[in-house]
Amino acid sequence: MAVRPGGEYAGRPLHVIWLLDCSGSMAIMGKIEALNNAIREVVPAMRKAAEGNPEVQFYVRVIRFSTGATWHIAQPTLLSDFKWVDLHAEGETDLGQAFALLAEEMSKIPADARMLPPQIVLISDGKPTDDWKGALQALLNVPWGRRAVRQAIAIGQDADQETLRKFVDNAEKPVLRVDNAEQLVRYFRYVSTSVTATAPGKEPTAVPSVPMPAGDEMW
Amino acid sequence: MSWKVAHACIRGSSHRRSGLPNQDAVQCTVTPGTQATVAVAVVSDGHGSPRHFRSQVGSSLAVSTGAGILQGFLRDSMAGNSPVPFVPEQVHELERKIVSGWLTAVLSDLGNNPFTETELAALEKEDGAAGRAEVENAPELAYGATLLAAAATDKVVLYLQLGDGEILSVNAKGTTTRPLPPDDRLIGNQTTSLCQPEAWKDFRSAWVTDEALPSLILLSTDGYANSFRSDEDFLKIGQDYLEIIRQQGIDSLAEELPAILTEATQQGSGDDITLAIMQEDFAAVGETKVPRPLMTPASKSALIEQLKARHSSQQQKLQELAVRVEETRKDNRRLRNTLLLVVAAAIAIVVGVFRNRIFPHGPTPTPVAPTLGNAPTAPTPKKPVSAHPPGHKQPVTEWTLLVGGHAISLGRGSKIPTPFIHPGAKPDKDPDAYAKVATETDNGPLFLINYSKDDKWTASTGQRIGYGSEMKLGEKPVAITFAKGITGNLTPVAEAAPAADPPQ
Repeated sequence: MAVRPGGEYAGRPLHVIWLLDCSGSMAIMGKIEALNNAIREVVPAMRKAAEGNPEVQFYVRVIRFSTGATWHIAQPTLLSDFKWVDLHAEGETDLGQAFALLAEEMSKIPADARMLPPQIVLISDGKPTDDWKGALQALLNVPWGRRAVRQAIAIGQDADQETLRKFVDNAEKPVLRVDNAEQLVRYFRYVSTSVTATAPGKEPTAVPSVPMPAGDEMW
Repeated sequence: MSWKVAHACIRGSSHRRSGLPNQDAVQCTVTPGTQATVAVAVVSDGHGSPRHFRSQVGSSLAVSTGAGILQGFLRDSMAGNSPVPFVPEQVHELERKIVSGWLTAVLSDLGNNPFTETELAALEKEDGAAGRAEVENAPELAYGATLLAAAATDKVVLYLQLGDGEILSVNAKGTTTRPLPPDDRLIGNQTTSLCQPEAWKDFRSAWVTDEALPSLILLSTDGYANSFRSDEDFLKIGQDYLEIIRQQGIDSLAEELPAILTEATQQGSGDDITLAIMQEDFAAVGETKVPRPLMTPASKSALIEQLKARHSSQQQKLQELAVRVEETRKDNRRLRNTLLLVVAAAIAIVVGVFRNRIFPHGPTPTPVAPTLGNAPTAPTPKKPVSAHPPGHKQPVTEWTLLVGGHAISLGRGSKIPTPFIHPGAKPDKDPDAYAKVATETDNGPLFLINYSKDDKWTASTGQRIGYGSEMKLGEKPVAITFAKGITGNLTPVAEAAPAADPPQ
């Protein structure tokens, strides 16, 4: 074929953003270590699942929140280039600041039809210590915040499931509670690969088809 | 001058992998006519998510319905040969007609091929019981699709779009623009659709005439634009296709299109891709394109003033004529009454004179109504022809019927398709409408007439409307029970505010 009208071709971008709780309570009972280990297992699984979906370019970035919120990985990073630097836990649970930081970033993304709806995964083990309601509303007021696929994993019995449910704001996507390291890996991997394995135009189903793994209630 | 068309529609690479069919559709026609050759290109993208499991049929019905209706519309508009081919209200009416035509076609397909348990079970597996219930309640969802269309003659190009996708207009220099305004709702795999309630309200439309006619029009489903790295990369196709067509001709390009689009889906979006191209073809009648002098703003406003003046003088003449007609009518009535009096008096005299001679003692005869040609002997109770003096509230001429989750627009001559109001109707066997809106006189009140042999309707006013009977359409909302379990709400539509000028 001699001709190829137009400029360069490219797959459609899909942004994955993780909001990770790094408050002091995460340091107890090995929770932060379990989270770091889970991410090291989840990313290769996402890469593998994404092979079945070559037309989508998956970018990951990470916000950590404790006392305040900051970008742990600020640049949208392709799965192939993703390298993990361990998180450390200390301080408060300023979830509101994490929402605010994300809302600000999302408001900068233009309404580009090429972009697939982003996925935001929130993982937390406690109750927010700042005013999170206004910040969540601000996030939902931004077009890409509202259209994002929002999912949450509650670590242990002290996690504020009600807040996480308000963030997810979708009856079809229940908040997943995990009580040990194995469950965290299983559910985090499920949530993340469901997005990379699913062709655009279809929404991933939220309820895990895998049975709840057996294990002790550590957290 | 004429138009040439080319198109291709290919299955997306991700659809191949996941086993989804090609859910796009396209139809292009060039029809020579007595007034003008009409070229129409329509593309449609059936939605990909599970609840739109018949969207490949929906898109195919969208292009066939759209192409037929657009062709008729443009042919009729051109017959008037006026400098401005149509007004916004006509285009809005056209949009409603396309949506209602698509819905009728969808229901007809559904009548022939009801949902199978396999289809519904597959949906339930993906979308849960709620998803299944939603589709069972509004089956047109299963057929959800977008619609993009361009219809052109040598004088005008009309663009219509409902949902995502791209229409590009390319001028002789290769400058590529979007003739329609953007729709901010179309991000993140979301789109407006033919299957949504009151879908016609989501249409975007525009038209251009004469010197603004493009050299090339490109219509594509979103799979094409989404295959490029950026908007600039995509817009470049305008200039590139123009050059290719100038070098090798549109027929030769048409052969290469499937390969071009297949490469795009593989290296880009993975989605189905459809592209329709319309090329202004001056060579068709052996003429070369002579650029028409562009109108200066001054001469344009002068022309507008001239048209306005002509319009107002015509209005004045019409009013004068109306006054004269009314005076003539009055004269006629006076004359008729006088004649009637004279005849009645003459008959009375004749009867008075001859009665005693013929029936000196006989019974009183039954009076025979005198006749005088065709003139009525007594004023026949005719339904009044409503006159609308200036300032009088305009009568309602349009109603919306909400029935079974559908909104059907009713106006003079509208018909309600059978499946909407008759349970178990088989549209293929009885394509006729079971109801229609009609009138006795050109500007008299409108009636909804029952043509359903099997149903007796009941209105919320208590009126019962049997087969062949009618209900006057008024200014108040009314509910009508068409059959057991099928009730519709009929609401008058307030006169629409003048539509804004189409965006350029």
